[in-house]
Amino acid sequence: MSGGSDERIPVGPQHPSLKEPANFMLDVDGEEITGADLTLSYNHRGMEEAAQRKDYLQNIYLLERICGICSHSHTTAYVQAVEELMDVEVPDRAKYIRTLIGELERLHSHLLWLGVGGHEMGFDTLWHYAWRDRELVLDSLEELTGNRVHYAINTLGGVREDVEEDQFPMLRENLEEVKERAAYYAEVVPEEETVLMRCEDVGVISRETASELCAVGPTARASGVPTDVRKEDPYAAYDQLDFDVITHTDGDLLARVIVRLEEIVESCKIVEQVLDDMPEGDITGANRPTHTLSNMVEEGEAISRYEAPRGEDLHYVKSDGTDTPERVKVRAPTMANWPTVVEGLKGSYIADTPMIVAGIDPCISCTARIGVEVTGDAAVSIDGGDRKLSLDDLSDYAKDWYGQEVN
Amino acid sequence: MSKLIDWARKQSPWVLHMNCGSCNGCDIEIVDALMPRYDIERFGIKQEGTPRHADVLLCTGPVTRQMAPRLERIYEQMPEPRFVIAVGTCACSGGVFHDHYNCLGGIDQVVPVDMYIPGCSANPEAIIDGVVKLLEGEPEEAELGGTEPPTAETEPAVEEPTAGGD
Amino acid sequence: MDADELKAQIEDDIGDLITETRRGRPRRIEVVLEDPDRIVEIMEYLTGEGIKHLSTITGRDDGTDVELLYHMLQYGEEQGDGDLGDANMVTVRTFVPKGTPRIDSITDVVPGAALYEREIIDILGVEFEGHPNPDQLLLPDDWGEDEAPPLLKDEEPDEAEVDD
Repeated sequence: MSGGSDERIPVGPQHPSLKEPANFMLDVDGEEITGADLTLSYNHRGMEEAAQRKDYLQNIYLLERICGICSHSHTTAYVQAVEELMDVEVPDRAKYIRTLIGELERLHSHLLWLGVGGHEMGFDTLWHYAWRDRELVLDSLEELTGNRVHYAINTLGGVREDVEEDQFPMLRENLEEVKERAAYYAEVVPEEETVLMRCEDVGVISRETASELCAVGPTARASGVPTDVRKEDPYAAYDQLDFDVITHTDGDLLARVIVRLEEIVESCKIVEQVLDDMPEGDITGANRPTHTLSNMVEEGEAISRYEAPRGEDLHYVKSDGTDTPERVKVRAPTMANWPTVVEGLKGSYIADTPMIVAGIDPCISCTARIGVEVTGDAAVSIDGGDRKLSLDDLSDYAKDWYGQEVN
Repeated sequence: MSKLIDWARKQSPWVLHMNCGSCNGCDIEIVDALMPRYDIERFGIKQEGTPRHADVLLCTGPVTRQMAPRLERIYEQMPEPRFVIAVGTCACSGGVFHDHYNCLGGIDQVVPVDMYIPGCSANPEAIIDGVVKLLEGEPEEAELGGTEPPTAETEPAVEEPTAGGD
Repeated sequence: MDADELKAQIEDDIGDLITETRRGRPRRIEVVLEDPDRIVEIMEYLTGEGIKHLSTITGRDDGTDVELLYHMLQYGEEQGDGDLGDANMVTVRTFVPKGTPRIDSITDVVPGAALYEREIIDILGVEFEGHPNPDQLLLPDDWGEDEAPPLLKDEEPDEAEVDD
């Protein structure tokens, strides 16, 4: 890759309207980061304001598009809140189907991350393997829902599509293969020299810090924080399924890798149980409103929590007797984890910055536009003396620093 | 097809991918197109990191206010001939965000678009199809907003919710 | 811990601070803090009792006030076999008048509150005194001074106003 002159933020005063979604300021002493600061400016789309103008059903399709990686998390969290407000019973079969899609989503998301993490570590073979295996999961999702992304399986009171008997063989076959690959990754990846070099003892966050910063998901669990919404606040079919919460004690990047690898294994276990134990019955509640557009929902409030692949996803919905919500508030998991990145940077090497960012599993596209500014006394000039660079530049610098080949 | 492959390998179009506020759905499908199953690189198409070397700009997202000036700047830095592809429904028309206070309603509200690839998200096959068709056709550079933006009839947008039992 | 037990304990301990408690569906408790100036005090109590995970802060314009909901969580107890006990969510509801929308920042007590308070600064124009870094978080840089925070309503509350 070339020096990427235009990925770099130009030296001199930054044009205000070109602010990156995230900008790290690193104070350094030689190769070490002594202080770090983060300014965040999200790619704000005005979701919450729009949700107030759409009816309850339309909002499923809107909120789904908060994120293309964990869209089922958002629709499920949302419909659960609305179902509470409407006092609608969701049949067991629908709960199982929601769980099935949810765990397939976790699988595809974690495999995606594994590939991205691998790429970041200069381990492109892992990237290709992980994304190839991910295609199997996407095939299952497409078979079940009609789409590889944005499955829209949820509706108010249940799910939109049933699982047919003749789909089970394909699902099981795919699952078998993913299970095998999952076991392989869980065994082999943590032992890989590249992984150890880039992840062991890097970016350590203590359990106390992770908890104070209110971190969530695998990021928090890797530091030993005992939180998983599927266990502590069960929804869908999780209270009927047998699986473990995966935690680790080291709180370093390696722990974050291991937690996700083991969660892939656990998710396969859950999918298997769901396929084995899928109850008969309807896919939508008997008392669900027949007019799915223009539902007047009585006044009320509901808080719904969901364990998305990246962690706790919270949806708050307030109804006011009309057919549009009074307020919809969404807190997606990544936002909860940014502060741990800042903490993890302190005391780390400059070259560890990209991997520490990747460690919380943020959106890929956000990281492509992250800026880094370095102040202080850097022993080595980064990128030809330029102190303002993109995270991608730092990625190349990191591989170079660790003696790896630059792609 | 082999004429195209020859052309692509000679020309080796370099593609720059830019997210203008998308949900990442289309972005990942774009990256997927590079992966073993779809492997767009066998057509000689390479992903590039800087606009100064790029021939084709693949854009996703409805263009948030935050991203609009950046999109413009990136486009200006591309040498001619340059082509812009709007990938995904949001990039084509704003998609579900078309009426949001912070979104502009599609890539063509900021820069001229040469190819629209709808879908939510657009899948790798559609993306490859669109890129190949663009390269085959050698389109003239569209005027800003000159190309007719897709309408509800021409563009299969998000599934409309259906009433009653599903 | 059982949600009813927790609710009773909170009522016992800080009955003078709160005007109301409610228990909604399982694992959901709500307390109403009438005096927003005591937000740090109530946060010190809750975090001291192990209710220290702030999931987020929801803000809403209810016409006359800005309502703030602090969604706090008590982690479920580890049960040694990969299981966790119930995690109770305790939501603190308080209001600041739209004319003077300010409240103390709780970041000294709950460091994880920093980004959530910034979000509310942007979308509702509330001021969080003592926030270490109140920079614009969500809105684009060219969001004008004359542009109102996006979730503030400008009309007077009408008859359909929710009665809380």
